[in-house]
Amino acid sequence: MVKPDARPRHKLLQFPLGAGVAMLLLTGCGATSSDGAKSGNPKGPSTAATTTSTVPPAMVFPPPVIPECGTPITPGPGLLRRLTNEEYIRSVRDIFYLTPDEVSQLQPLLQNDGLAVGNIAEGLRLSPDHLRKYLDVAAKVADFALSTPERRAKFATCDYGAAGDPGFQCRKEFSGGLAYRMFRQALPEMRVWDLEALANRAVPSTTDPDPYRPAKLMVQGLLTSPRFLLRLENPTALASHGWKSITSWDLSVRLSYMLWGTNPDEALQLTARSQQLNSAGQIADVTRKMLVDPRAKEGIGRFINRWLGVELVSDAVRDAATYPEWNDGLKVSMQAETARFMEDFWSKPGLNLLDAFTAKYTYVDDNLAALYGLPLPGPTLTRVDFAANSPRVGFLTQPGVLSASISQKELVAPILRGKFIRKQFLCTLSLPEAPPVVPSPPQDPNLTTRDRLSQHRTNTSCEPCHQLLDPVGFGFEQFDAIGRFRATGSQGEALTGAGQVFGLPGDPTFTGPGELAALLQGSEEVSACLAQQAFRYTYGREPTSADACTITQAREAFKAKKFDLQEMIVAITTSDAFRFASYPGAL
Amino acid sequence: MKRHLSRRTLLRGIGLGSGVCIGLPILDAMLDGNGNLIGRAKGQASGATNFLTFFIPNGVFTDTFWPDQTGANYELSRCLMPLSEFKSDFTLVQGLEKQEAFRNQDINNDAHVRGHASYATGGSLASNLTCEFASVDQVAAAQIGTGMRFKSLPVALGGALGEVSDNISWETGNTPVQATRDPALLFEKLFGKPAGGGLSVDYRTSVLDYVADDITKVKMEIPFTDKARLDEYLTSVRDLETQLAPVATLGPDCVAPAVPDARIGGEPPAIDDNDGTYSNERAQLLLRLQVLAFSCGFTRVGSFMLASRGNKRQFKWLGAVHGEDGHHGISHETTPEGREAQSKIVTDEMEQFAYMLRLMKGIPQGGQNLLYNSLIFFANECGQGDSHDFSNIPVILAGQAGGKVQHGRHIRYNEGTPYDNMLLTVLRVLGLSNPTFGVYGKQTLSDFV
Repeated sequence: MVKPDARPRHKLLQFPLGAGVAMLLLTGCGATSSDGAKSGNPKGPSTAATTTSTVPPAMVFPPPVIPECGTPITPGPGLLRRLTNEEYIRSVRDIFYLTPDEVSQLQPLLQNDGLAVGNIAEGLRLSPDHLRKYLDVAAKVADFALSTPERRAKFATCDYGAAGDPGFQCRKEFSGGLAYRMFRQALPEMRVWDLEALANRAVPSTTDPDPYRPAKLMVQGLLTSPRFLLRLENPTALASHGWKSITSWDLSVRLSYMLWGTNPDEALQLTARSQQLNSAGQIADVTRKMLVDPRAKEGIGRFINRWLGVELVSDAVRDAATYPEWNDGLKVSMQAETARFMEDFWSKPGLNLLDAFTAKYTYVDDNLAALYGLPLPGPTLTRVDFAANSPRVGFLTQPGVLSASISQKELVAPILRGKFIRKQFLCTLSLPEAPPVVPSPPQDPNLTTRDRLSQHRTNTSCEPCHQLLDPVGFGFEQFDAIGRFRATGSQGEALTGAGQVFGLPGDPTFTGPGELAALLQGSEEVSACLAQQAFRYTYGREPTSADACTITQAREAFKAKKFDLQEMIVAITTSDAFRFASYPGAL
Repeated sequence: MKRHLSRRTLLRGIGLGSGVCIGLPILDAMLDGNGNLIGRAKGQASGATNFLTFFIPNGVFTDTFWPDQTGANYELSRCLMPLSEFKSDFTLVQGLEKQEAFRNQDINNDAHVRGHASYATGGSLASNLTCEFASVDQVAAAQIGTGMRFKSLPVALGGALGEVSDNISWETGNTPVQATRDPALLFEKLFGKPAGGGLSVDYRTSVLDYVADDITKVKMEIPFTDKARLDEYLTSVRDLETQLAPVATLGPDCVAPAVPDARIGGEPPAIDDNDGTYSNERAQLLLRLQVLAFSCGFTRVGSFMLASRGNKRQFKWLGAVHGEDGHHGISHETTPEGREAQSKIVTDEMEQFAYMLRLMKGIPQGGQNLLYNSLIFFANECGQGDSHDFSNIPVILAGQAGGKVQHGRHIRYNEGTPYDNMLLTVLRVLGLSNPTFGVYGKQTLSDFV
């Protein structure tokens, strides 16, 4: 029988370590191979020569290694994504003007989304159990939205259900108007009759005398329709090269969920209706306008939150005896701190996102000030500047980021923090198989964490992986599991935060998070990785080799515009991949 | 005047009549708006074979799990003692190896994750972080589950990590059939919404009619789109319509075991449990409902996951705790204390398995009992926990499948016998004619078929 010895070892092991790591790191387009891809020719595929690129075999787990931009871009097919639970709730909130209290009543009903990871389309399923929940939520939303005349007047021009027959015109306004908002475009009149037919199935009776029952039933249907739950796209107009154009309506939906995380509002719908989203220039204008709208803080904020991992704080567990201050209030403050801080680096045009690595200030409220050892500023976030010699720097040492990336266990903290940096900022995680027998690190309580982990350097089965992880994670050893500063370790040893990033050019060493942050800020890999993550966020799927040039364009725009995230986003929304669709084997 | 029952009252209702098995009381409030009884045995002939897969995580400790002797006269090991009263109702199968779990290590180097993916699928993790193939219960459900209210009914106590390891049931390699974890929801699925909690008239089927019609029209309106996704939605609508359909009569087999007061939780926490809040009491409540789904004829196929792979549950009541790594950490310990703790945990898990067997055996059915008329496949993601080993997977086959299988033995196959051969054998016992299963399942095991 084939025994485990015969199992393939990871390819990384077949290379001298330096070379293997370099191969793992995304280098993206070389200057020469990307020239053709920069044209952004809206009429069809760019003219770049199709060269045989030396692509390493795909490693899919996460995130994939993107091959070099050598083949012309092919836009993907139109999207068909289910709304995420977050998008669903924001959309109904905005369409029906739900109160914060009502929103908080809906949230628990839509928890646990199975395999869904962020907004990746593949995991967003629609099983019978999902549908069961959607029906329950829809009944609740309908009850909320139609409960009072004031509520009804907010979203409907006709009081469907008021005493007496409201009349044909009124009913049509109600159903057509709601369908226009919820389905994100005008609904064919025939389909409006289907809604009317649904409403007519509810006959107010002695057991259910609610005169608004028919209207509520219609709302339940609207909320459960594939036209609402799914982001349907119908790219019809034929462009050259067999591509199809994404319609203005569908572009408004792409922009709205990407930038705002919610349904298009009426103004954006009007833009789409009046065909103001046709050219790349028009899309760029609208994108820029939307990015400075407060709603971008919810949409793009969601992307930032995921990039920095702080969304994980909500689920993080800490031992109450060791960390008595760990509670929901603190978690919320941590997430708010990072979100607020990051806004200083992306929410206006002309900002440099990468400055967020090294900025020497943050925002704290009372919860956080206690953790930082600062005077209490009150319940609202207030800016505090760090002294030049403070170990705190940028977002990397913010408690939310430090807490998201690790468990509370001292020994695994450097490993997990190293892994976090590799995965989130360098887009490299694929690692060799763990050895069959994992040797337990020495349990001797008199050893320092570094000493206990030192066998990762000497044991040849540990070293290939852990060389990539531990020396990066040691950069944060001066911070405990909830991000509090400490100068000494468990044995009274001075903690310096000294480490090394193998795989970056020259395998640079550093001392403390400040130097590590500066290394990351200056590395090409971080921009390349960010562009890749922005692609995944935008399209809800993993990139393939056909997307390499799209990602490269985004990265180069980011670099050319001095790391302005808004400009990277504009590069994405004006790209061919955003504006066109192609269907293999179909015209 | 209808009496409104709270959900809790209904759940207690399952267990009324302490100590004896009783027929499920048909309460007024269990009738729907038309006076039809909610919950129906649809189409099941008494005595048809039911199939269930049962999963526990983190391997076992060889010395306390595997008996020394083989054959019929073996002595139960320490961990298997909870099964003593069922010795003639199960067979212990040693020597099976999950070679497929060595596949796709470059996708995820965590052996637990791959071991979990290979639990019932005959494959490993797939590149998109789902499974490579459908699981054995779903392959079976496609044949024996059709026409039932639930084609299958996966249930889980643990595992809510939001990833592949949340489920052991896979309709296709990348379509999990999500397990129900909330006892209240499971109850609602079986017996309908308790009255008083919502509308006096349930309009859900009207909405579903509209949605089904709308999906069909969308497919016509949009020529180029992901038709598979729309079809998935339409199938879900149809499945839910079947599940919500009023039920006319409950069969004589639809009896509920007696239970103490049920402690009911809501949805489990978003991440896998670390502090032991998933009590055995909750596990047993879910098991009672799962067994009831069989005995009432609501489904013929199920799966039960006691916890997901690499689970970190702390077994505080056993004194088996391990930093923040719980059961997983314990399973990797090679110290005598660690192995003692692992043995305690596995024994505790076998007690939950025994609890389910006891329930099933206590339900008379067609001159025999529910257990006799069922087939249960029990296994783990790995063999010996401390080494992530995929050989010697602890496998138990229980239930006589209506008389097709003889039990009461400890069989030890040659080391390296494909685990998938066992899964192929299971399908054959259930009457399916698949020639192979998974990557390595090419031969059936002659001890069973």
